[in-house]
Amino acid sequence: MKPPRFIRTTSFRLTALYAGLFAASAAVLFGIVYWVTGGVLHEQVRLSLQSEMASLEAEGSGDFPAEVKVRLASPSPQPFYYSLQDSSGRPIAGNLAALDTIEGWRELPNSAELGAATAPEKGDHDLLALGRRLPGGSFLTVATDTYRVRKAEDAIARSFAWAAGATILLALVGGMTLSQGFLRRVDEINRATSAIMRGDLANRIQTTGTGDELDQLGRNLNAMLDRVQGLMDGLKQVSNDIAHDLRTPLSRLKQGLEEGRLEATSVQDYEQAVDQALEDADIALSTFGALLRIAQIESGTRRANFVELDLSSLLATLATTYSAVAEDLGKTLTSSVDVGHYVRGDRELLTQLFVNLIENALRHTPAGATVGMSLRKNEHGLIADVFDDGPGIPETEHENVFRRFYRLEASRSTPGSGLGLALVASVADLHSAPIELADNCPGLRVTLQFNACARHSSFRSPPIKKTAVQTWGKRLLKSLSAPDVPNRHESDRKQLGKDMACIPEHYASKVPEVTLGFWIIKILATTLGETGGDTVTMTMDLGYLTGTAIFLSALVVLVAIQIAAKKFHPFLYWSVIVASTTAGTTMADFATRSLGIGYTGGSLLLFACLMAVLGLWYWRLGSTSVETVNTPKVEAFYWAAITFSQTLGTALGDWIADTGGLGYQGGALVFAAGLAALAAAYYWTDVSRVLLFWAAFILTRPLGATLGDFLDKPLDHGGLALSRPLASAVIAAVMIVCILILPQRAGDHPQRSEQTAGGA
Amino acid sequence: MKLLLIEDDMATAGHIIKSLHQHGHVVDHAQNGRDGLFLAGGETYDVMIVDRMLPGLDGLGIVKTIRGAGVKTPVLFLTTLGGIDDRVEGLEAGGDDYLVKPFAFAELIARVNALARRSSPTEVQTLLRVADLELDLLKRSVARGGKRIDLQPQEFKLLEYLMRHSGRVVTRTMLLESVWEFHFDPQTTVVETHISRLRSKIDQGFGGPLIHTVRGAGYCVREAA
Repeated sequence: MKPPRFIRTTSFRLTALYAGLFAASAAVLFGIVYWVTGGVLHEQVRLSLQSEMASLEAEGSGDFPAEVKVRLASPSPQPFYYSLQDSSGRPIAGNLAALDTIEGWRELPNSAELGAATAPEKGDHDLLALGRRLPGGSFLTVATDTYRVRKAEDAIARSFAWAAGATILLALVGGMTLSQGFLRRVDEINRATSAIMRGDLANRIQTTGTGDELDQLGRNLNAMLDRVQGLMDGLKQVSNDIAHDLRTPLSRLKQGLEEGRLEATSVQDYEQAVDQALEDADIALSTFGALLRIAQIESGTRRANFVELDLSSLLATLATTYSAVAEDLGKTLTSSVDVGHYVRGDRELLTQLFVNLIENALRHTPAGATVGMSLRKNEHGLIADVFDDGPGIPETEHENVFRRFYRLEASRSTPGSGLGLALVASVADLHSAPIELADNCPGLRVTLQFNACARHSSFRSPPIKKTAVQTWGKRLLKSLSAPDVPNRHESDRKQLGKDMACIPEHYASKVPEVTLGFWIIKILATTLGETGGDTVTMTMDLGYLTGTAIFLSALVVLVAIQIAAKKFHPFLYWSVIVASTTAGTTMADFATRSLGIGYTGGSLLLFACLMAVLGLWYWRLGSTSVETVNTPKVEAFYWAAITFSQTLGTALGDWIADTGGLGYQGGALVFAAGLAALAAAYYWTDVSRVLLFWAAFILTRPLGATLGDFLDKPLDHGGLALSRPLASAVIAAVMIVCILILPQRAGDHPQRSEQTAGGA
Repeated sequence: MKLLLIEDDMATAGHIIKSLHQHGHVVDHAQNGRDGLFLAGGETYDVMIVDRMLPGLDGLGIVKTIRGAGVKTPVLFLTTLGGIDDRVEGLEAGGDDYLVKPFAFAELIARVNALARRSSPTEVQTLLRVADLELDLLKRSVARGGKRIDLQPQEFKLLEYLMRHSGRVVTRTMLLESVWEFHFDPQTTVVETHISRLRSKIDQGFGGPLIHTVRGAGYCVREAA
């Protein structure tokens, strides 16, 4: 069986590795501390025994039994045990049973068996004893209890075990969280790519808009898919074209050959048939070549070979070349080309573009016609025109003539493949030069708008077309605001110019997306609210009323700033949350303790308030259609509901702990169980997400309070004994780190989308 | 001339070899890239005709390899239809000219001749002369029989190309590529128009015509026989 997927992810493995490293370094640290501290403690004990022995020897040099008795009688800060034995080993004085008379240090196993009179604490009491043969033959043993030393060592070991356990647990939870978040987005990419592999080429990867690496990857993949789809479309088009339009010349070729085979009687006839066949084959081949050429141009690979080139001289040379040709055809070619205009492009293709336009004009106009070409600068760049005074093209056909093999009825008789203008269009597109057909009154005017490029200024990129930027921006917004709709492939060249619609200004949500990260930061914020609130009301001893006043005004100011803000700022948003939870803490304490309503009444009152706010909100939104989610009114409701739910959470926590008699730990268990139930409901049922969100919002509050208590309660009560200001600072730091590390993006809160749906 | 043809399609190769033989050339033929490279590296040829797509080692690889080894034999690439990038790639790899398949044989022989001429070590010419026609590249002047002739820049370029290849056939496509830099087939009579204009200036009113039309192949500048 394979392990669960998150265990196989890179981020989880890294986390596990880090957890292992942390555990190992904690173990090394513990070993050193344990060894050094233990050594020092034991040394202390030995020193005290030695000094006791020395003082006894000095002071009791006359009468040792009397001195031992005196010492036993007097209350000493370091309780010693004594045993004085005569030279035969019989006990003379002391509170220890008879011992083997061994000089120097030794451990005595159990004080009870040795007859030690009093043990200060219960438990195993090992004694450390120092024995010495006194002058006169008697043997003195002084011993002391090592219980406290061992207890201290145990305490060190225990605290390290807890710390190591907590470190590993945190590292694992963090790893799971990170890898789950990461996995969800990788899954999204996998889902989209497998859908594409199944043939749904229009499918695209959803991007989150955060701009991080995964988002970048998604966007690049999407761009790549757009490109691939464009190429596939092009290929399909070419295949269709070949299938449809090469059949004609090829069947004509075959017919001609068959005719020749059947009907030719002389060498002359055969030669004629062969010549005709060669001609037909040439036509088919040139059509084929032109098609492949267009396909290659449309693949866009030529863009890599773009160079800065003198468009003016290119056009001037063509004008010279073709004025002679025009003259021979009985037509006139005029040109007015401004000198010194440069573009970035492919010389060969641009030459072909203009040759096609000029030759088109020459071929589709009657004798005596005038064909003109011009190049001039305008505010957008360079305008290149090729125009004639011939019959022109009807306006309704303007779009069609760029299609492959499309030929106007009037020109069916003139030779040509119907690919000339299609090639012009693809070259123009390659150069991002919009092409336009217009009536020259009479005749046709083809206008190309190029991006000018200043000579020798390769560092300055040509100005990006406004339309393209706006289309891009619109697409980005579309992907941000409606993530379920895959970006549609917009390949239509003509559409590009028409996409001039402006971008709506107010669009993005101003509240963060509800993710696991959201809840982690929320709990931290609640904890900070608890410790911060207690700092002001208890440590600074300002009282609940003053505290409430301070925090409520801070909350009002912050909410006003948040409502005024144009878009989602993570730090601003979480500041408001902290302010609301702090105000909630002091407000709840004020209501339940100072006003004397009690926890039960307070909780009920606050629950009623929260329901009222939510009900009012629902009623207001239900009656009005919501177009944008961030109107000030909606936000005011949002923050009111959040503040009340934080307050209710505080009161509820106290109620469960005090009135319910479960204590804070028991309360935390109840709320954790409640949260687990909510999570289960979220994953496995269709219970209203609105309900779940607010329930979770209320229930995470006491969890934060318990965490806060854990931080600032004394050590012997199982806390960390951090001072409240210090605890607040620590949590604030952790929160900032979380906000910076966990992806923060604006998203729809569930109540919004659902209530919007309800109102619609 | 001794030529090397590296071409895997037997029908095409047979056709080319037969025609080259008829023109009095000696042709070695390799059917795949590896044999071709072996021959190209070992023997001395006047011109090599190399197909781009070959089994084993492709045409580009062969030319890159022999150029790396210092072989300077002119190379004519045979490329597939419609490849815009093929020409650039071929020239970058060390090819000297390219011809798109299918091609007229006259085109091939004209290009092979042009390449063979290029390979012979010639000093930098500043004066081109055919019969009594002189073209001075430094002064950019043209005179026939001592009489100065005014030419447009494009006409000058056209005449220069023709005179550099005097005595040899120059095809329409070769002129389009080198004089006008058109790497496609124009639908109008660009070459014919300009040749006829040049003729009216160079040949009219002088002794014999120097610009000759070779039917089915192209043009040739030479002294009238």
